[in-house]
Amino acid sequence: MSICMVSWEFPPRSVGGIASHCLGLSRSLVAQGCEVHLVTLDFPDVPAEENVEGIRVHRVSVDIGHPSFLLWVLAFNHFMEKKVADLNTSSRFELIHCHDWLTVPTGITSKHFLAKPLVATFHSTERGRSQGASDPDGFAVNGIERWGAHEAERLITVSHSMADQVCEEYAVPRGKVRVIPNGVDPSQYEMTVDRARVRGRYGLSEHERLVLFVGRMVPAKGVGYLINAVPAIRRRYPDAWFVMVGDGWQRKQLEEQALSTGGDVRIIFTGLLPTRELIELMHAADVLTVPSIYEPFGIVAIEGMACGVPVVASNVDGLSEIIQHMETGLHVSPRSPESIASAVDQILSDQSLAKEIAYNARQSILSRYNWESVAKQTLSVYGEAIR
Amino acid sequence: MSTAEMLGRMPVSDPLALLCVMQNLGIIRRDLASTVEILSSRSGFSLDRVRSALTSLVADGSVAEVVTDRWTGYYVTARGILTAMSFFS
Repeated sequence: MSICMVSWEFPPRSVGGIASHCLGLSRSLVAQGCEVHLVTLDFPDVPAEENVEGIRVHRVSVDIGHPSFLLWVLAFNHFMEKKVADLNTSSRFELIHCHDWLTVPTGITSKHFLAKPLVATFHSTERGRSQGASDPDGFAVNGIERWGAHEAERLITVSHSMADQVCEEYAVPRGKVRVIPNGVDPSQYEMTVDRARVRGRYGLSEHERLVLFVGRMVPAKGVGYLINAVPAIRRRYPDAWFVMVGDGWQRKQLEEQALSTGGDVRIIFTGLLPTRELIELMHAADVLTVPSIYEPFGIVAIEGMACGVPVVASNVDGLSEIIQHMETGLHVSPRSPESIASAVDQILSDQSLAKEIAYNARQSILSRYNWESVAKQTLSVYGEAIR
Repeated sequence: MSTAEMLGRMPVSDPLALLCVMQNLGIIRRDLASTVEILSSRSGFSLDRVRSALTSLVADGSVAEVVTDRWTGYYVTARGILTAMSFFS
């Protein structure tokens, strides 16, 4: 089967979960015999045309920009549409697969121009991302999502809560929506780590407590609530360190908030880390916190679970589905520093609970969240869309 | 309403607003580096606000500076692209 995947992000242009999703899914589709072309945006110091583990990657440059984000998105879709049409002359795509509203215009145009079915994966919705805030662009994005949801032959969401949101928000018949979770490559997370060496990179000793956060520094990730929980955790565990991995537009503000927690600030902001270094850090941590207030899936949580670090996560959206409270992780109330502090304390104070949760979580990942399974389910949806 | 004005209604700083505008304009390569005057005209920010924002963006590595005999230009780096994308995603 020849598939044209369209995404605004693909490594190294990676900011959210869509880039890793497209890489993992496309790689597994190739392994199952598909021809996958992935059309995405250009990025400094990477080639425009590249074969990435069998995926034929095409990066388009946007020759017309505009200060408005919305108009820039429509502009890059124009160039993506041209690329898809051009590629189709030699590849004869059987299906178009777009990701989120950002590439819906390309998906719809290509569907009609090539007369091929469209599958769309919604990783989040505008309503969820904006958390109730509204502006003219937001209404336009909402409209594009609705348009894509109705044009697609099949709609994939990454969690049941997302499926409910999409059906309710866009009046989509439940029968055309399929829930397929994100995945990980479990073997990527299997490694023996020298905890002392990894912790030494950040100035921590082997015996100090390490509380980890990994994710974008944006309001939806709830990092501010974790920082507000730091004083309570430090009162109980004066040796605790907090390592915040990731970058984003809110980072400076969060660094200032961290300084305001007072005393000897033991909060380290690392910025983005190479994948291997990040996995080593997850292995070396005592607990991984995912304090999101909106999380359609929560890929960081399954990465932590695959590494065997106990996960403390907000009881919202996809995180509620991934984690079974007290079995494969601990749930906390969203926007509640007190709840975060209490759950971190529970993990740090009870080693047998921490070990049991970490073990159960890894078993859950091995059986449910692997790319081979995700690709097989996606192929089945492709089959439905083509029929 | 320009993007800068739109962003100005949200609780974001001048550097972030300018970074987003530059990214959306596609100023992401050295050969597309733009002067303070052009950036002021495209963003709707005054020359002083653009200069001040650029000082901050260059310092944190989100924007790079190109200095020639005749002009000084600025473009968004890989890090800056990811920061701007994080604002919109």
